[in-house]
Amino acid sequence: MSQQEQSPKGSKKKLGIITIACCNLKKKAVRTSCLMGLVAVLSFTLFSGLILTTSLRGGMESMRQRLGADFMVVPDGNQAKFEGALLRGEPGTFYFGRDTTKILSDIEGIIKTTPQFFITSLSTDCCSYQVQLIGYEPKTDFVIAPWISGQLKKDLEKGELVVGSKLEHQVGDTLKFFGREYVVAGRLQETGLGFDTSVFMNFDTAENVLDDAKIKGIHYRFNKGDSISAVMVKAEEGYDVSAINNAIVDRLREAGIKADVVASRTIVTTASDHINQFIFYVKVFSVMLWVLAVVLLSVVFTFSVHERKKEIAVLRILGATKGKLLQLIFGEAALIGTGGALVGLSLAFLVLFPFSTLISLTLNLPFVLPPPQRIAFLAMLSFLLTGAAGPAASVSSAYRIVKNEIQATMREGE
Amino acid sequence: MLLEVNQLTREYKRGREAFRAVDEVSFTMADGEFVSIRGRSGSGKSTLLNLITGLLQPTGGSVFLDGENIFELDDRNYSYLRNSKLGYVSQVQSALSNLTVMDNVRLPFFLSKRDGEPSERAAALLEQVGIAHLAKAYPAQLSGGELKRVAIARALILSPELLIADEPTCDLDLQTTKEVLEFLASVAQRGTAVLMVTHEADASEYCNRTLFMESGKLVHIASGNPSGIFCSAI
Repeated sequence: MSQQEQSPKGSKKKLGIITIACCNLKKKAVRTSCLMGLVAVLSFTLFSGLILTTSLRGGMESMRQRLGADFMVVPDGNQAKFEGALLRGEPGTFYFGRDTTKILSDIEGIIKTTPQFFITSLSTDCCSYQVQLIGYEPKTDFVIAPWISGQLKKDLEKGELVVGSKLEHQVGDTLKFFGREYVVAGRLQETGLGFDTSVFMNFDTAENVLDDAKIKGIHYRFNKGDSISAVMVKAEEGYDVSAINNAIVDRLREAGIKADVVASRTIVTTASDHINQFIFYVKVFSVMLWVLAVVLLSVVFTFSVHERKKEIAVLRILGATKGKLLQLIFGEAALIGTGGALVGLSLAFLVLFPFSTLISLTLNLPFVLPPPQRIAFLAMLSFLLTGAAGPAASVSSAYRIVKNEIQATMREGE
Repeated sequence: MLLEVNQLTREYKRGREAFRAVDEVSFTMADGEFVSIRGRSGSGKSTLLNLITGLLQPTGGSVFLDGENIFELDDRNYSYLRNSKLGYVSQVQSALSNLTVMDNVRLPFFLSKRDGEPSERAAALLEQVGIAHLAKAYPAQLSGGELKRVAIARALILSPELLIADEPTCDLDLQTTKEVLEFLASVAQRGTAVLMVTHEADASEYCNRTLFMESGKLVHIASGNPSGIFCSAI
């Protein structure tokens, strides 16, 4: 053979099995991208599903802990508005007489009652923005005051506010309502309820707000000192829901007060049913997608290994052990799985967390994102499960390849 | 003795009947010997090579390479033996399509644990087979003759004791065939035994011995230039 005048400059890179796997994937860029895309969709769905279900469960648990009252009594025809304010922070105003509290406290089996009233601020110059303001009575309150004083370590004073976790104000900031500024004395932890987008104040502060509103020409259907929006009711331990519910309805009817009675258990059960239904759909969808992805990957890997029989036989002839061949096949599958899982997780992080508020509003269900360490765990779990989908899908192809006689493999590959 | 083939047999089933593609073949080879195997198509030449390289399992008999019965070795040891002591040039195109020519030649070095770097030797081999300028090309860009040279360079990268070539001149023009045969003869002169299956009658001119096969059996062994004998034998 003729001598060449020019010596080639050889590559110095090591040609390990993973390098060969990378070369194979790079040379089949379209196929590799499609497979990674499939795994990315799987990873995105799995992680998103896990975050959604965990957040909804967290929201549910938060709701159970935060509701505090066993019954909530609101003016007739305002149950939906009240639930909107309670669960989603939708601004709402509705009032009835303050004597309702006294009437309810006299019913047998009821141990505590406390009034609340709701004011909706405006989105005009007089107010920082439109938000639900919730006034409570510190003397009798057993719903809001305990967790406010738990976080503040003191009672809320006149002129002070506590803001929900989704309002972007820090302690010391001021908020303006109807021309007057109020100081933010604290921020609440996330609850997954409407409380997250509400502002809390005691009755004295609320009266200030209402006076200022009146000066600005805004007349709420409210008689100062005589109206409230809701009464929170605490019943005795082991109470009979329907008995107390009936007693409340009867007593208010006798007093000529038209009201709706909302049982916490009913709200929790309804929300719980919706959440469980949603979680069921998420699970079914995730499992279906998982199965579909593994089947598709299996088919692609089987075809891929079939068309590469000759390459595998050549490696074997050159001295690759069966273990090395398995490393090559699983290595390629793992690279696809790992790459796809990382892409899917990155996309999920980009979509889920910046838009979590929007997602929770869209779902209309209590929604509390899990703590960072839990998110990290779920991300790792999703990464491992989807990353393993590739190797899992290539098991049977790999087994067939290594058990075949090399020459048969070579011939089939021709 | 470098290679000892004893009563090597491979039986296949064709319908209900069994037939022997290789039938009790025995021969030996010493270091640096250049031996060719000839015979008509279907006479069992390639099957014999595939048995010797361990690509096929025998129905009977044994193959000793450097004193070790290759069929008694476990996968790890036999893979190592195939990697370090055997070079193999396949009848069909066998370069890995996703690797460059240079990486194809370097590849065997990395299939077992070794120190060092094979690039210089790979470059030298590519020069020897005349395709140094194609080091960075991919197999799809090469002709049949160039691919055959890649396979030869790759088979020699680890300086094997035995080079097995299955019709290395198949589909090559006369000039390239001559160059390949001369190169294989020079490999044998440098101490690597070469066992080659070929249809080329002229190939025997380059060999120390030529084995003739018919219906799976070794029917004749000739020394030197046996082309005339081959013609009369079949």
